[in-house]
Amino acid sequence: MKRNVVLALAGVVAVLAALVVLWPRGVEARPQLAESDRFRFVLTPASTRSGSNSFDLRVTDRAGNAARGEVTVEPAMPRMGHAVAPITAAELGPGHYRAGGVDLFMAGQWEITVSFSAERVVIPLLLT
Amino acid sequence: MRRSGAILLLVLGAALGVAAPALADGAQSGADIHVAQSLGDRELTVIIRRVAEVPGPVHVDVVTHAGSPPGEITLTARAAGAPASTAKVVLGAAPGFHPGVVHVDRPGPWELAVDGATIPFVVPALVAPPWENATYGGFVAAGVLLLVALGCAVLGRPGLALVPTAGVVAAVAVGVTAALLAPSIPPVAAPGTQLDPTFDNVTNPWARTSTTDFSRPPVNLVPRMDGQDVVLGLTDGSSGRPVDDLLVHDSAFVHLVVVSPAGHLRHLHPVRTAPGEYRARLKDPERGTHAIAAEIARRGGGVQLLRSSVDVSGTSTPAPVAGEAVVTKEVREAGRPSTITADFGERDLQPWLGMLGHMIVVGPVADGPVSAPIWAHVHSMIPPAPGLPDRPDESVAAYGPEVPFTYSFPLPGRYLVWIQVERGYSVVTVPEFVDVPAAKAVSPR
Repeated sequence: MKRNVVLALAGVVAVLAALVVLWPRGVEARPQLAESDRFRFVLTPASTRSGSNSFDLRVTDRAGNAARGEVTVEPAMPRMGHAVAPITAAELGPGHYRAGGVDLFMAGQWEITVSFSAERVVIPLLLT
Repeated sequence: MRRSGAILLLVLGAALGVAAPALADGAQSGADIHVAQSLGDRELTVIIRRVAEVPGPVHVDVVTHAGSPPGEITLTARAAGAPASTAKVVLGAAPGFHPGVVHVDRPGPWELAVDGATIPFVVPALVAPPWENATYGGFVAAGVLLLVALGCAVLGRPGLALVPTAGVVAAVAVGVTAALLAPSIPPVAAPGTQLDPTFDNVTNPWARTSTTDFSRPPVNLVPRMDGQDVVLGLTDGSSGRPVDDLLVHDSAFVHLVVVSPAGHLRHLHPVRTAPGEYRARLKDPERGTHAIAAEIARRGGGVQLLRSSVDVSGTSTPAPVAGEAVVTKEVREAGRPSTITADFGERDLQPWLGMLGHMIVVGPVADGPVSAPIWAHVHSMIPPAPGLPDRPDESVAAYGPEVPFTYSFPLPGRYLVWIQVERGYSVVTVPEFVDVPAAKAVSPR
């Protein structure tokens, strides 16, 4: 009886371990940080799947103070030699911007260029 | 005995259940090959359909465009040591698809001759990848060993049955490991994309080579005129030998853009007439120095742009041909992305060269296109349809009406811009000017 319980437990542990190891993982939508000489940009995509997307942007100076101005997002896909039209982000609050309706129609490695008051940073984004 | 039967069922069930996903990744299959060909007075698209079985038929579609004279062309499939297969295709006066069938009897490098033009292509072999063999081999071995173990047990030798039982465990482990790892093993490059295709490497694409860098030297372009034809001589930049390894990229071997002294554009796709020799006809040319630029892709490397010029002794006066579209320009300063959108009114555009639209940019034109520092070819892409490996061909007239382009003009000044789309089997060219202002502030990056 006791032996059966031990065997069953071992089986459950083995199945759980296999699930943990083999469970398919996607790419998580993590905040991406990029810094230029004067500013710090944090871009969080709403999704890491191809299709319509939106970006949450936080722009501060190097001291951490919110920066205000026009923020433009310029997505491009270098492997395909293809860029899509730039999008001007809407201001939600001090240093907090949102670029909506970004149509990233193809899976793969994208480069998102964020420009703000003549400074530009490039943020990589992998879509599945 | 009953217990052995239960174990047998369990093992078989597990084997079948795990083996199922391995079937999902089949042997690699080719795709349709679309090649645009400026053959004499005709602008054709030759579509070599995916070869389903070897030996077997190869379905070829010859697509004619508006203004193409009717007539007959001969398709010939040739390979070293194989009998040639010929088919005649009658081209009607109406533009559209004209099918023909040739036969191939072996996988390997083949050549399709369309009258005087030759299109090298690869007939892929259906080869099971090594991990598939390991998966099936593992489960077959497990089944055989299981029968041996059962036989030993039935004959009253349970001790001896332990040996094949251990074999069952090992064989199942091999099969399961191969099946689980198969999806994450990168596929080999399609034959003929990195190495020159041979009968050997097409039938065994998994053969190991010591090469890791497949790129090749740059190409020298020497254009000359032969009657009304412009003939491109392509030679290797390191050895001087003819370059005969061009890949089909964006549906052509060579994208040749010719700009006349009066600023008229031709976008041609020269046909291969000999190794390293490509030829296209300039119908009714103007007199003067024409700027030419050829986009090519060599096997194993990226795309290169070759620029040159050629003197033409034509007599025609430039005939203005302008397609109609409402062009919206949102031009930013040099270095920033500008968007140019052409609206063609109706949703009936066809893919041309696999794209919704093409925009050729030449400039800044201070003293003519020959000396313009920037020469660009921008695409407006057709959004990919999930689950369809083949791109839509020209028979799908359901795109548009808006054709957007995004391009960062690198220098300030006046650019010549041509937007090209296909509608009703006819290429529509819309010429435009774009004036790009200088950058306001110098950006550090």
